[in-house]
Amino acid sequence: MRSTESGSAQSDSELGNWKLRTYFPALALHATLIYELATRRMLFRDFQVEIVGEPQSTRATGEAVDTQRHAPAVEPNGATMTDLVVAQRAGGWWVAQSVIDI
Amino acid sequence: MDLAQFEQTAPFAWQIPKQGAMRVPATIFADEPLLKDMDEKVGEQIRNVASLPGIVAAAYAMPDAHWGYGFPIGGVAAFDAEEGGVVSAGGVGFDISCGVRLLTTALSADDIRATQETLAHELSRAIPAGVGSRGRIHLDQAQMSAMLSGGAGWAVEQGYGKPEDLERIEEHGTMAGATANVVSEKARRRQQDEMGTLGAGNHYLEVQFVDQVLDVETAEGYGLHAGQAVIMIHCGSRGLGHQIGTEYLREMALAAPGHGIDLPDPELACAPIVSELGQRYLGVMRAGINCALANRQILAHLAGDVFDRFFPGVRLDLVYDVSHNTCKAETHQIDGETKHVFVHRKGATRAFGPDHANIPEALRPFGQPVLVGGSMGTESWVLAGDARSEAGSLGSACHGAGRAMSRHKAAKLWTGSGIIKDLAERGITVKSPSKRGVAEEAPGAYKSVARVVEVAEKAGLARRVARLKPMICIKG
Repeated sequence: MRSTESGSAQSDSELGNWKLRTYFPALALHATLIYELATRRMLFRDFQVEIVGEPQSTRATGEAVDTQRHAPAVEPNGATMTDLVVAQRAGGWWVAQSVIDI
Repeated sequence: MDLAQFEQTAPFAWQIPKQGAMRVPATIFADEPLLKDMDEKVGEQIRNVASLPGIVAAAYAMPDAHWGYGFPIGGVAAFDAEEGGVVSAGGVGFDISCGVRLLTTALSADDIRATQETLAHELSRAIPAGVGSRGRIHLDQAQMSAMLSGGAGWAVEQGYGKPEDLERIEEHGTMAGATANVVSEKARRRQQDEMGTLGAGNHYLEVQFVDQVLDVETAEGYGLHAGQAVIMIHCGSRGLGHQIGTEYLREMALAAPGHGIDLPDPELACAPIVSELGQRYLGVMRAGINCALANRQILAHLAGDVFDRFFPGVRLDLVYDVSHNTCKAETHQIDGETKHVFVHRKGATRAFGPDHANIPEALRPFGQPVLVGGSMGTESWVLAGDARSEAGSLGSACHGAGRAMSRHKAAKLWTGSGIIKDLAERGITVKSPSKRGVAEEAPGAYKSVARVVEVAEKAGLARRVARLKPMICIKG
């Protein structure tokens, strides 16, 4: 995956558009997880994601929300385009980050 | 916020002159301490808004402004379709038509105190709140379409509330121009079990009392008097609004280059008003407004059922229901001309002054009620729209206190149990399924709403009418 630095010849706006198109699969993944969380009333913990362009397959496992036991404080409602990051961390883990509206 | 970028144009108005890509100036209404306390991001975001195509007059930020996604919370901007103006999903926000309604009762604060704990318990049972909560109402596709087209009018037809309530709701309870058939399956699916639910975060249903009346004549006109028990509901369009926001933010951001729009921030995602995408969003967003209006109508009815069990025959009369996350077609005098524009208010309340044709006839002598929620431990306010706000802020005022710190920091500073105990000692009963949620919503995590409304009054946005103090707070 390209790093944002590699687009240094682009304007901020062009860079933003490039970044959006590159990161939108991750954003779409977050939006999908929020939708599934809301409609299935579940909390997810483990994720297996394969991304080639748009997410090709995603498997998320978790359990039904138990208000007493989980006592969730906030309701994830929407994936925003703020602080979008897709990066590989030590150990080979990939992080797909966006700020979530609650 | 660095004050060096501003020119003080009035005692409570600070302007960033038009510069760079800005098409109009940006104005923040605040006193010096409020302005200094605002995030630097507010200045950056309001300048970005001022650079969007077709913006007219100025980009405005209210005294409670703080950082938001793209637009600042507390941001107001109007766009002229004939000048290439845009409609922005980012300018409305995720929680379409989030808003506040206030209901009066014939009860006193002492009546409530006599049964406060059991009343709070029954309200918490009747009002579904918190993550994963479902209402008792389940809509099929036909019912969903009717709700999205009819708003609070649909809710009244279903038996939730009284026909006379509709007169006291913006748009008479039904937002015209909604295109229910265009709302996505996903948005519908998220909403089908969520009608009549409060949600989580900063949404609440509170039983309050009128602690202080500052404008007796207007308070009487609104049906308010000192010592009276009232009910305030803060809620929005639930999952449906957020799903619409999610879908159109993405589509508008991707389509912007094709529309020749250079977005300084992708969260300012927008499309020309006259474009197919702009028109499609407006229709769907209006359906989201109807969802919020219906939801608050149902919540008020559920609360009314509980009150009727405790106080048989008691009436809950609606003072007003007003949204603070919308885009609406309005007519304003701008630079000496009458203009038809699309006014975005994100975390800002419409605040039309006396005699405005778009407020209920009974309220016209006093101006539109502006309902400003505070935190659960402090106070909320009823203001009245000031005619001066028409020229000053496109008929807009503040909407709340604004957070003083992040939820994460608040949860480190306070515990939910501690907050509930402290508030109980001050006569405030809090019911919430989430202790952490209570900690994150701690009164100390919010700025002073009293200062915000004082500045709003001094800036000529809205007049203070009455201060409300909480007794029971139902939170998600």
